[in-house]
Amino acid sequence: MAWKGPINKIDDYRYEIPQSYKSGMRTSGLIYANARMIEDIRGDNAPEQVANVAYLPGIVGKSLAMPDIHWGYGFSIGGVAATDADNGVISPGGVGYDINCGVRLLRTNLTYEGLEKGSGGKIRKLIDEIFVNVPSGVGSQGKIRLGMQDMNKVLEEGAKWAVKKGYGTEEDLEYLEERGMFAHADSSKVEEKAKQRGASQLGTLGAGNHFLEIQKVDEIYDANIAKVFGIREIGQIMVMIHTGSRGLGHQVCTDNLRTMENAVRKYNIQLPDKQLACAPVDSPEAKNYYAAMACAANYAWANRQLIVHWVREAFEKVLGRSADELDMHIIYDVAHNIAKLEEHVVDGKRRKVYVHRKGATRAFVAGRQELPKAYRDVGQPVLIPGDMGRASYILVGTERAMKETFGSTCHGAGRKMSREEAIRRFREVDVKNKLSNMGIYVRGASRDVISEEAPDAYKDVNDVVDVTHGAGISIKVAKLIPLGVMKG
Amino acid sequence: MPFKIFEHTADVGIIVEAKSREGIYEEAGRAMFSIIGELSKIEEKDKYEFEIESDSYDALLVDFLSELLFLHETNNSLFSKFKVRIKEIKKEGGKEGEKKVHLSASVWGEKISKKHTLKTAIKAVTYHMLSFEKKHKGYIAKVLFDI
Repeated sequence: MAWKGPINKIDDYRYEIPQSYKSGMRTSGLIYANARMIEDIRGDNAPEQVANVAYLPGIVGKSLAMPDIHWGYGFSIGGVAATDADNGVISPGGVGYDINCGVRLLRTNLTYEGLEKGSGGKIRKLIDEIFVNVPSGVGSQGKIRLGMQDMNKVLEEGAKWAVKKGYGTEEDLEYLEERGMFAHADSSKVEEKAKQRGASQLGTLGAGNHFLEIQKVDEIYDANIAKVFGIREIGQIMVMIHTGSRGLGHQVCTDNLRTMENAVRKYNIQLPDKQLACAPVDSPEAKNYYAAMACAANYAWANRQLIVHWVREAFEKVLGRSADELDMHIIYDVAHNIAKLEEHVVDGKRRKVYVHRKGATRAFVAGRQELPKAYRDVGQPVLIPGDMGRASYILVGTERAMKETFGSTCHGAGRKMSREEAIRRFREVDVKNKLSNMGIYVRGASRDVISEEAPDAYKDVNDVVDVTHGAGISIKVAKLIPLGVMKG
Repeated sequence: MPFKIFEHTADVGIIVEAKSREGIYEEAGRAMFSIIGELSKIEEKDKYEFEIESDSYDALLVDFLSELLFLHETNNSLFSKFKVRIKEIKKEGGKEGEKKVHLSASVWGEKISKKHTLKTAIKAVTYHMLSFEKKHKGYIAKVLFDI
């Protein structure tokens, strides 16, 4: 059922839903897409969600949607909305269930030639070793079980906790968004149940679209910026990790949605969809959620930190060289399901806003204090994962993003087919063979996950990235293609 | 078929029919674990009991399934048999005649082991498209999961 509301073309990459569409809209909607994609986008009611988000009290600027927009819970996936830090609202639906689901990229000084041809099929050995070293799949349990004291530290210190425990180095923290730790996290705001769900899952990849890939650099678009990120040549080996806050984050979202639904009544907020449930920024409900969300975000940063450590260990074991010798440094780590208090210039004035990014990535321009020192002259690396047969991208943040999208861009490809349909259409063995012929080794925790995650079940990430590049809200730096894939 | 699974592009949901309200909760439990694993392979070895309360029957369904998801993850277990009792009780501090619904459940299942094929990880039970209605001589309910 296609959405019938008004969409006006602004230019080749921008489409507007006028504020006049519905009387409660406080601003217009802006969707980044090309002419072909906008027809698909109309297909699943996501534009209605973009219009609904425009109802949020205190929304600043437009209700935004990135080109990988699709239907989500309350907010569309790919939705971005900024709300005023004094009289706006915070909405858990603007973050999603998998709080701080994100992507981390590790570089190496290895090349495809050296690794695969020179020393005889090491990709397969590396993936097999990582598969043993990093727990994954439905119901997977971590290698460590957190006691309550350590749990509270994870929730308040994030990746820093992991580094203190010997998982990685102090230098790693410099290359994580927020240095892998939201300081405003308060573990007393996380309910016992969430902590229990998280106790046995730290250091696990999870299942579904979460993955770990060994990739190689396939194209470099901007050699100068690439060099700053440590990307030196075509064929260079990288490791990409995509996972989030696991059951802990899901439970934090579940627990707070219930409170927020009551808050909507309590504060008499008029919303067109009850899944946009929110509360005024200074209310106890919003403050509690923001502190608990920060804990879940910290858990996710610690989670990815443990996985990085075990990936390094696997490389060391298989290749017999230290991670340092292999130059296995973190390029960056981005959060793509999160709400953050940030300062932006709006209509010529500096303003503090809560930027909700749900399936959207921060894309800050050069010069921002939030960036690692080494990147401050070029801008923030933006990591965009694609499906296991196509590509992933490294982009860089731009001034245009700061002006138009509160420094935000897309987050990935997005599904185009349900899992059930994918299982029906693609047999595991066929998917594996096809990928194998392309030189990609795949290992899944289950047979179904390979079918579900078949490349053709996804939209083409190249289209999504071309739109953000064309629109100027993030610029292509390098393209990575998969060589070895681990699916949970 | 007392329950049906339906899929949207990136999500999965259930439609459950039963003669009684209790039956809706019990079938919904079965439906959820048929998404996570294979019901026929889950033996009724361990028993868990819990009680919850909510303001309405549909919210109670979300809370019930969320509780099962919590037990599944924290006990590393799968469940295949569900027995619930529900009763309406007076809402504490509520207005005259305001009720809420109390549910006590017994669920049976076993620890996850090699014999189980796990299919889909459910992240959360959502309120989206949530319904719980009377139909003919029974009830019908719909729930969507975030996966």
